Amino acid sequence: MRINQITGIREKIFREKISNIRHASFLYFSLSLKLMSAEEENEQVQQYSDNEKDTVFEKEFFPHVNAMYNFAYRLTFDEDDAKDLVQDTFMKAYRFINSFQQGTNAKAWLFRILKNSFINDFRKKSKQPTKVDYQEVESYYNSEKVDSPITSDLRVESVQHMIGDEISNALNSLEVDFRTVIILCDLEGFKYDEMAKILDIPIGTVRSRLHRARNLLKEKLRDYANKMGYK
Amino acid sequence: MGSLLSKWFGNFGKKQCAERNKCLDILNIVLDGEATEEQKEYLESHIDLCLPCLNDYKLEKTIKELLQSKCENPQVPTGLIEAIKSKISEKTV
Repeated sequence: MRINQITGIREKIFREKISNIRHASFLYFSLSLKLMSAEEENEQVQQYSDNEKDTVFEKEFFPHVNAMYNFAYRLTFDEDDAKDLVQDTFMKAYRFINSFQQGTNAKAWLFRILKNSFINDFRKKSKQPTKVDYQEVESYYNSEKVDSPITSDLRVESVQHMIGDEISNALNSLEVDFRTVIILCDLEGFKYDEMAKILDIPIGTVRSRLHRARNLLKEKLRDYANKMGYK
Repeated sequence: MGSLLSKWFGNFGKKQCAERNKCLDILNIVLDGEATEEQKEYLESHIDLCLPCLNDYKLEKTIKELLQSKCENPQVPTGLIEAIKSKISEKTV
């Protein structure tokens, strides 16, 4: 009887969890943003007045709008989608602004919201089907093949001959998770620990993903170089 | 002295570095500006002696610089900030 009761309660909790899963993920998201900002300064979460909100947006958020649009565009490859994604990000930033500690790393905070919006809301409704089963990608790229450096040489001179398009195309052809770490590190200049927070992964994973991403990028560049007859 | 020279030339002229993966890892950490003093010293003294890793260093550096300078950024739509501001004020009214 007792066991039945306990099982019953657990089932009830489970059902409620399912129905509340959207709410729960919302709460989790809000909490993780709080942690991210509060961790840095080790201070209490604050309440902003409307005026203060405007100031934070003007002084700390809007200066990053171009970088955010570039990131969004390199995730979606579509101007309208990129614009929507940036707007969504700012709407969320407004909603969760009390989780942001003024003077902390606004750019990383915003990039994290953007990346989460892309994964949670955007990939689902996007025209492109989700191509990446992350587990699969990670284990595939864990194989020797990708980890071992390219033996057939890609020469510095070949790369120097390349124009922007070739570099840009090579970057864009990488799977989104690998593309993302290169964008964050090389284009946006984020530090490893900032990337770990933006992507919700340990620093060790940031480094190994970056390592693989760079090997893949070099493979693409070497293909271009061969095709163009540099060598 | 003779043996030192031949060691130097032997190392410098080699085609492969036995620890290439480790070196590649460290040189990227250095280029990303995240290296410890120890890692920096290791890399400096290593690429003095190891031609393959010196080439790797130059290659990684070139690619990183090209990514920064040649990846054209898309044109940010005009009025994006204004659009965001009006969206926010719609929601809050």
